[in-house]
Amino acid sequence: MVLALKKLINTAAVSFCCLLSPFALADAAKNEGFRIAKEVQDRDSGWGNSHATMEMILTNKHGVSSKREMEQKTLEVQNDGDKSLTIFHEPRDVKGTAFLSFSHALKPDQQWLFLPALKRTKRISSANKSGPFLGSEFAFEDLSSFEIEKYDYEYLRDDVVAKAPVYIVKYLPQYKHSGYQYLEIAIDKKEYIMHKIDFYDRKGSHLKTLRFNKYQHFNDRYWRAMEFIVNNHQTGKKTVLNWKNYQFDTGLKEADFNQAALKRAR
Amino acid sequence: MSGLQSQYKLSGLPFLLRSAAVTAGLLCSPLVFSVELQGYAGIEARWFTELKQSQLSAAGELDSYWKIGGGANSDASSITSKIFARVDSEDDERTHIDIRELSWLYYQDTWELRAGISKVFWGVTESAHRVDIINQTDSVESLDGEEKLGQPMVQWTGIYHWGSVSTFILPYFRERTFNGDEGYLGFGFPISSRHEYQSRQREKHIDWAIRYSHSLGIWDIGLSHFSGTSREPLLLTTLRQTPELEIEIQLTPFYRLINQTGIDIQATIEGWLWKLEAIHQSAEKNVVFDTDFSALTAGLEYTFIGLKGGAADLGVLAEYHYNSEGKDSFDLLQNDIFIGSRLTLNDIHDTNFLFGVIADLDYNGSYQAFVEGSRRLNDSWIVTLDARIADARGAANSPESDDKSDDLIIFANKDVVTLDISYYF
Repeated sequence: MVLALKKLINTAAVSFCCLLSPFALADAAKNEGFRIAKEVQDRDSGWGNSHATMEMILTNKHGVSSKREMEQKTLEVQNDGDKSLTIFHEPRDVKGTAFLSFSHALKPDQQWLFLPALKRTKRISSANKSGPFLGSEFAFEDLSSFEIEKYDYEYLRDDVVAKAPVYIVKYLPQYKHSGYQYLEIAIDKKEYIMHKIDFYDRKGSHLKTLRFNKYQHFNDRYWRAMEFIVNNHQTGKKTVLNWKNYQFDTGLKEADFNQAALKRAR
Repeated sequence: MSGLQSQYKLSGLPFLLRSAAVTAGLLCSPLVFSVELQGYAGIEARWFTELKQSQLSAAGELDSYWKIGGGANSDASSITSKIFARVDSEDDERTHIDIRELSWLYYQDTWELRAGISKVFWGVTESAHRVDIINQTDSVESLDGEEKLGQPMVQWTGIYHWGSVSTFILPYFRERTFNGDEGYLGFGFPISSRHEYQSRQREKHIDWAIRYSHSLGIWDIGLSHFSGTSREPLLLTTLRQTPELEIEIQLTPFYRLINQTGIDIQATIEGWLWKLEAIHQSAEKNVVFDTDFSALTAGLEYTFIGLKGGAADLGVLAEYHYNSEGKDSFDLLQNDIFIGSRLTLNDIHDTNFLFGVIADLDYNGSYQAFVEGSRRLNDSWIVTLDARIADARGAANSPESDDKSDDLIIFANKDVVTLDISYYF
C-alpha cells in the first residue's frame, strides 16, 4: 500500500516535471545518461580479477615511435575502486619498475611506485590525474578504474559509430584534478560497451579521441577491446595500446596487491 | 686492495647460499623454471673543471632472476643476482667488482624470507637518507651516496592488516669504498687499507635490525631500530711508513658500535608530499667519539602538472637538515637547507632535469649544487649529463665559523661534469 502510494507520488512528480519543459528535458537527459552509464557499469561487474600484457606504441608528430611494454594485474573491489599492479618490462632501463594503485570513487587514489635500482618504494601523489602515463597520450585518469560516482551524466543523442548504433553520452568529471571539462562517449546500444571517447580539455576544446577496437568476449559475459588508439588533435601525437594474453579468474587476491608484492614484482 | 674489497671472507655465507640452492632444486623439479637476464653497459667521462683533469671509466651490471614455482600458487621462491663492475682509467680504487645482490627469496601471502646478499632502502626524503642504514655506501660509485654495496643478510617479513614487520640479521660488515689518490675526489691524504673497528670481531660482528611500516589513508609510516657497526666511518689521522721508509699521514676509517632508532613519515595530501625522517644514535663507549646525537631531515614536495598547458611537469622540493651536535658533528648536513626542482618533459624520450642546491646555515658561502639531465636516445640507449659544484670558501672568513671550517672544504676545488652513455639490454 505504501509502495503503491509512493509510486503514485513519483508518477505525479514526473508528470509535474513534464510541464516545466526545459528543466524536465534536462532532467530526462541526465536520467537517461545515468541509466546508460549505470548499465555499462552493471554489465561489467563481477569479473573478479584479470591479468594482461599491454604493449604501447608512442608516435610523435615527426613519426618517431617508441615502444613500452608492461603487465597489469587487476582486482575488482566491490563498493570501491579497483586495485591494480602494473609492472614495466620495456624500455629496458625501467624494467622491474612497478606501480601499485588503490583507486577510490571520490577520495584520492593511493599510489606507490617501486624503483628497482634503488630498491625504493615511493608513495606518489594521485593529484597527477591529468599527467601523461609514461609519455603516452593516455593520462593517468584514462586508465584508472571506472566508478559511477566519478561523473555526472547527460544523454546527448543517438548516432552510429563503427557501423554500430550508439548513444552519445556526456560524462562530466566530478573528481578533483581532472584535465577534462567533459568527455563524449559513444556507447553501443545493444552491448553497452564503449566504441569511442572524445576528450574536451579544461577550456572545452577538442583534445583527443580514443577508439576501442577488436572487442573480444570473455567468460560469455565481459567484453574487452584488444586495441586502444588515441589521437591527440592538438599535438598530432598518437598512442596505440595493444592488450595481449588477457585472462580472467587468474587466482589473484588481496595479498597480491600490497607493498610486499610491489617490491617483489617482476 | 679493490680485489680484496669485493671478496667476502665469510664462512656463514657459502652455507647460506648452498642451502638456498638445495631448496631451490627441490622446489623447481615439478614446476615452472624460467631464467631472465638483463643489465647494462656504459661509458662515463668526468671533467674536473677547476683541476683541468679528466677521468674515463666503463661500468656494467648483469642481473639474473630465476623464479621457481608460483604462477597462480600463493607461494613461490626466486633467486636474484646482480653483479656490478667498473674499470677506471685513473683510480685503482674505482676499479672494482661488487655482488650487489645474490639472494634467495621465499614468500607466501603473509610472510617472506630472504637469505643472501641484498639491498634494502628505508625512508622518504630526497636530499639525505637519515633512516636508511642496512647497506654500506659505495662512495666511489656516485657523488650523491645513492649507490650501495650488497649486504649479506637473513630477512624475515611478516605482513599483517596492521602493517609489516621486517627483522634482519646482518652477519657480515662491508667496508666503505673510498676514492684513491690517483683519482681527483680523494681526501688529500691516503686512506689506510686496513680499516679499524670498535668491535673485536671486526667485520664479523653480527648486527641486527627491525622495522615496522604501514600505510593508512594519506599516511606512510616507518619505525626502525638498528644495532651494530655504524656504516658511517670516522676518519682518524694516523701515521704510516712508506716503502721508502718515510713516515706519512694517512686517514684510517674507524667504525663504531651504535644503536640507531629512526622514524620516517610521509603525508600525501593532494599534490603535496610532506616528509620527515629523524634518528637518534647512541654509541657504545669508546675512546674516539661516543657522543649521542639526534638528526632530522624534513621537507615538502609539490608538483605542478601540465606546465603551460603542455605535457611537462615541474616538481619543487625543499628540505631542512639538522644535527643536535651542530658544528661539532661529523655530519655535513648539521644545519643546512636544500632547495631542488625536477622538470619532466613527459616526451617520447623521457627527458628530465633535476636541479638542487644545499646551503649551509652555519658556514656562510658553503654550498653544494648540482644539475642533472637525462634522456633516452632510443629504446636502449640513455645519456646522462651531471654537473656538481661545491664551495666552502666563505667559511674561513665568516666570523661565526670560528677557527673551524666546514668539512665540505675537501670538495671545494673539485667541481666536476660527468657524461654517461649506457646501453640497456
